Amino acid sequence: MPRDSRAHAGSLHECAVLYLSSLLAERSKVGWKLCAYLVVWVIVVTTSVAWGQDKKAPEADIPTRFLEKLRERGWNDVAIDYLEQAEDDPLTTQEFLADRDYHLAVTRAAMARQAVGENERQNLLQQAVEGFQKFAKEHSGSPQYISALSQVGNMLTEQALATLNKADRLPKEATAEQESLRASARENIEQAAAAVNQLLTSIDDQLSQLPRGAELQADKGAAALKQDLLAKQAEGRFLAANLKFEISRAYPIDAPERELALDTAAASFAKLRKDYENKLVGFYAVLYEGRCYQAAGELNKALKTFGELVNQPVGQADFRKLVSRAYRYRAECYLAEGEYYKAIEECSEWLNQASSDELKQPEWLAVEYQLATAYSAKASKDPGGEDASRLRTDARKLFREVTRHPSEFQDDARTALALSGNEDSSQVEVTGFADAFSAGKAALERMSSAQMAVNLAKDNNPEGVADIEDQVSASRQQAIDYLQQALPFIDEKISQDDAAAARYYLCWLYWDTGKSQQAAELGQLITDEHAETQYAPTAARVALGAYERLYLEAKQANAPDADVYADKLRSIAELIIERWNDTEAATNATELLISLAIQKNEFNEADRLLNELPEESRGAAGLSLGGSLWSQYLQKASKSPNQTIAQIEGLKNRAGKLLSAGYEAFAKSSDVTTAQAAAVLYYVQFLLASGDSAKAIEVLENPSIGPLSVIKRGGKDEKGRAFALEASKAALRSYVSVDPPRTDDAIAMMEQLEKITGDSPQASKQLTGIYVTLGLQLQDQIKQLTAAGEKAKAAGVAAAFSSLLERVAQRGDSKSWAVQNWLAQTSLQLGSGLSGKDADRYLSQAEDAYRKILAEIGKDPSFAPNELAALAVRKKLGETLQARGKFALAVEEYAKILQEKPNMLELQQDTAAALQAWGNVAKDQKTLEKSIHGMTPQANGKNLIWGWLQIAVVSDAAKRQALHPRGDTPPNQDSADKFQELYFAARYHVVETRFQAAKLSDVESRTKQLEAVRQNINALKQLYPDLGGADWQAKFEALLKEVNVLLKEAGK
Amino acid sequence: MSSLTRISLAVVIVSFSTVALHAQATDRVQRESGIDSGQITAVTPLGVRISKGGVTSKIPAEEIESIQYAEEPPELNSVRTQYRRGRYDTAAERLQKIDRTKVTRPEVIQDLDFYTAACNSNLALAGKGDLKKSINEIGSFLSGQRTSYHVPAAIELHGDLYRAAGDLDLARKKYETLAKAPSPYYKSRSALLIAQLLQEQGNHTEALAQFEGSLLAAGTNTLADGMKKEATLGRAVSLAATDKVGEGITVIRQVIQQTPLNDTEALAQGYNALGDCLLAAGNKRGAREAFLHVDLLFNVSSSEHAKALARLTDLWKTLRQPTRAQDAQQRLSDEYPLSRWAR
Repeated sequence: MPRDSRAHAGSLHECAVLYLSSLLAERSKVGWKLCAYLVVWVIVVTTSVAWGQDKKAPEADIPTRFLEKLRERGWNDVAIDYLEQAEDDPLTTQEFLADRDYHLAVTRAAMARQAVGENERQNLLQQAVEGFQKFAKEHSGSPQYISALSQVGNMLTEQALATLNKADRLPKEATAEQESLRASARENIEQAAAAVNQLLTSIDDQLSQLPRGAELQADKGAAALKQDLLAKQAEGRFLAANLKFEISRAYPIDAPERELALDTAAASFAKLRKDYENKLVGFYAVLYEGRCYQAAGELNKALKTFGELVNQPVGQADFRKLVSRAYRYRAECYLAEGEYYKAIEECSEWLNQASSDELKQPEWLAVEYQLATAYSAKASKDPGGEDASRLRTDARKLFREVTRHPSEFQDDARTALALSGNEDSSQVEVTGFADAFSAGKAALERMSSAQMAVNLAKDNNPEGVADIEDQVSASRQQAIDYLQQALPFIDEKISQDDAAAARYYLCWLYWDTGKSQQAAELGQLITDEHAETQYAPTAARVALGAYERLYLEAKQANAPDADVYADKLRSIAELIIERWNDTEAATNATELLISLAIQKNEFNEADRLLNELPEESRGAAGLSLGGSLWSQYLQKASKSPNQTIAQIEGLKNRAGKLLSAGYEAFAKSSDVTTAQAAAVLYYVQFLLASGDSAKAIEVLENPSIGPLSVIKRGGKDEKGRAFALEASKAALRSYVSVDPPRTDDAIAMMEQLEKITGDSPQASKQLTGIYVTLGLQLQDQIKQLTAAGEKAKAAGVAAAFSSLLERVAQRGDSKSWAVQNWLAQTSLQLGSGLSGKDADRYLSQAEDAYRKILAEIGKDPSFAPNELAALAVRKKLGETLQARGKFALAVEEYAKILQEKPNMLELQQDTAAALQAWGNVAKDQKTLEKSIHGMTPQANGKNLIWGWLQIAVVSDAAKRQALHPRGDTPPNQDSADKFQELYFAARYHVVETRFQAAKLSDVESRTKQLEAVRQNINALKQLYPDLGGADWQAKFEALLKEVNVLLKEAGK
Repeated sequence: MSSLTRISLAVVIVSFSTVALHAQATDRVQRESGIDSGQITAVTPLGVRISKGGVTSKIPAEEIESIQYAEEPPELNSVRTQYRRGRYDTAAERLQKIDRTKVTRPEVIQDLDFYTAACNSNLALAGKGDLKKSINEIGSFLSGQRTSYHVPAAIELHGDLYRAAGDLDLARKKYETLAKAPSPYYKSRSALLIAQLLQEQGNHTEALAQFEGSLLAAGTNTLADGMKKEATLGRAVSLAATDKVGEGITVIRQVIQQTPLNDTEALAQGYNALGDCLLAAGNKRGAREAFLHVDLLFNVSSSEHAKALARLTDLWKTLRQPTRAQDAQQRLSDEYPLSRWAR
């Protein structure tokens, strides 16, 4: 492909890709600025020996030859694979392996230049720079050393210029971002300068070691080397001076650093022109010296300096280009001073001398653009003047000419035409591919120019914006129409690049206009049929994006073709991974596959894919997978409570590890997506479930990605509300359960929760439900702390929890049966877990709560869901009273229940226990006796409260009944076991209570009672030698031992 | 012009000049080590007897590259040249132009019959002819020209034809026949062919034994050096396929490293074997790079290059690079249309 058309296509292509979200930053102007820099570089370099490409060794080794062949074919991807595994090649050499980093960097640089996406290009460039730097650091003696340093210098400069151009494109208001970009560019330039200085030092060293005089003349090799080194030195010095010039752009226009940089650069170029007088390097130094003055606003000095070039006799083609550039800069100076006629005069004169070929070259197109601008400016200065119309016509003619050929000013010229509103958009008669493709590209260019013009018009001509936007739409539609007409003409006669380009532009336009199906199909076609073109990777990404869009739409609509799109999505993602496996696109595709696998619950597959991602890219996907596994864990834990811990613990741990790693990878990010924010919240939940409240708070409060920060800047929609609700719940729990609890924050979080849920009755109910659930979680935590002997911590959590309880108690819907019971129950449990005043505070709350419930039942029996529920409340009140030491009242409550349900064995047991505890506390033998024999005789002669003995009798009978049921009922061993357990418990309590009573008795009575206890235990042993099993046996034996000690003391 | 073509042309030029000098009187036996001139006095499947100045010597069949007979039709030598270059269609065309009625010497008739059957067989093997017909044709040659020194080559071709026709048992039997010759060379050759057949069938365990048998039979015979290398590489591929990837690769690496860098054919064999080994181990990218060595650097040997292109066609497809696959396929078809790899 001729250079011009390729550059044209490239420019258009970049232009088209521009609109693909973050795929690419604009290149047109930027590209030409870079090109201008590189052109100078190449010209300077060609005055001597090209560096960066040392003379090829006459007999390169096999691996080097293989690598060269791969590069010749453009198979840089294979070259990278090969280099990474080069030691596996049987014919590899130590020398080749030693230079591996260099070769990798060269290959990555080549890949960067092939890359279409700006992000990918920059990533690859960065990797290449790092590779060259590493190589230069570790191989200072290598023949590739100087080459590596020059690559570093060039590439960093290139990166810096790209960054500066990006900064220039930002709106004026974005000063902070501009400064950040400029700082980054300065850093790159300084690094580049360091590399160039290192290179110049190395060259100086090598030159100083060469022989001199006659000895050098005699040594042809040394003489050639000297020439080579001197040429490289000239190049290095030019680059060093140019870096000083370029760094001036990295400062604001009025910064003193900028002025200083320009002064220094001008001085450096002045020295260069002197040192290389009458050589092309020297003349270029003159041009750049003039540019320094121009940039510094010293226009007269600049004009004079450029004038030195303009006045040179011209002839040689390269020199004419240099002179043309001088004319262009002189015109810029004149235009800046408002001296349009001078600009018009000089530019016209120079252009009149140009050949028709030259007029299409960038250096002359730049002069044409300046002339057009001068015409336009002159016309604007005197709009009513007699020449104004002619000047405008001439300007448009020239602008149009500039748009026809690739140059730095092509886009500016298009924009100027778009702003003039006189773009030629007349219909083209399509007779074949060439017409249609050309017309399509032209329409696309007009669209691009109009889009740029829209941005300009927003500042300068707001009322014209709507018209220009109409131009954008019209041009877009024309581009689609022409490209659609072009496609059917594609056959083997059409070049691969043109066919791919036509398809790609249309593919992108489809994507841009929301025609996902067409975009996906065309993207897929390009990927399959034009795999080797530069369009293939980006087309694949468009196809990926389009299929993802289609899939999500189908899924949302529950459409049956969602699975079809999922398959297509998977297929294109796999292709991207396979074919461009080291790229950002492959990482995105893998993430997408992981997400698909997660959606299908294929967690092992997702895990496998995750491990295939580059380590640095696993954060987001790991977070996502971890979140899904956590969600699955929660589902399993709630739906299958019988599932053993081991079965789901693995799931929990894996989720935790992924969430933790994902969070750490993202902890310093500035932002997260909604899905990532949700996964971070899952991580908080995991931490809370693992008891790590402190870490949970750290994550919650992470200023960038913490859920609490996300809430602050989050959306107000339903999803945003749901997230805020869950995050606030987690925060509340964290603040309450952290050691020490953060009560103020907990209260603030409750207020936030109330704000989020609103004040409708339904919302209020929801909030109460939240508190109740939270209370249950905290109860578990308090229990665990208490069981672990960490009573102080348990008390701390309980104290913080009390705020929650009070909050619930104050709520309007707290009168409901469930909430009342929860409040009472929670208070009772909290009190039971504590001791002393801490305990009584909660027990008192519990007693009040139970009494309140009973009062409600008294007023309205239907308040309780059923009779048993009401009895259960009374029982709980009894337990509460008993816990508070109000035994009489407790027994009274129990008795009230027993009046109605005398055979409630469990309640009889509680009552006997209450009596026993009461007797012990009161040191009252009679009460102890009642716990053994019962109390409150009834009309039938039986006691209402049975006491332990009767409980034992009933239990024994019930056990026998369970083992030998009447009729056809089968024996129930479980039931029998339960009653046997109760029987031995009751029997034990009998002897224990007797023993306690004995200790309260006088000596004589005590001995009798103790003997009775011993006899009782021995009799039981005769009946049941194992005494009901190991546990009870140990208890009985321990008691017997105590009895025997006391009897021995008593001489028995 | 490739070095092989240059060498072949040189041979042709020398051959023509010698034909001109000795056409009427002398038979010329082309061996790897040089040319023996004289009178062929006896021809058997095991070799020929040549008499010169009253001294008779025996030349074993395995050493003979070709024999140019006195009084043979002048076109026959160009048939041999085309055949050697793999241009079977051209060779067949030239054979047809020879007026067989004028040929009386039995050895020349044997040559004409052999090259006719062999050209047709090779075309059939490349998918350009009828396999069954060629099987019969070679069979007829073997039964009709039992004394020809081409008999071992014909037996091998017979085996190849059965192999291509899918009759692997008969193919094996034919290869086994070779071992009946009282020559370590043919015993080694027989084992090698059987091993390759077994390898193709995926029977790597038995293939290993045959490769080892081939190496053993070849012993120190320098004439069998190429065969030994083939057997060594083949054995390594089968080792890799029997879970001894490391051992297989080590062997191949050693072979490659010991090969002079100008022996591109041997290097091509080595890298192709390495590619097969890595494929057996599931290392597609490594295999791709091995075959690319053959394609990009060691592409002088047509059979090895064709194999590499065929393997690359499949690999590029597997690696989702359809354009590269298409390119490899296209070059295979363009450059080696008659190769069995192009089928």
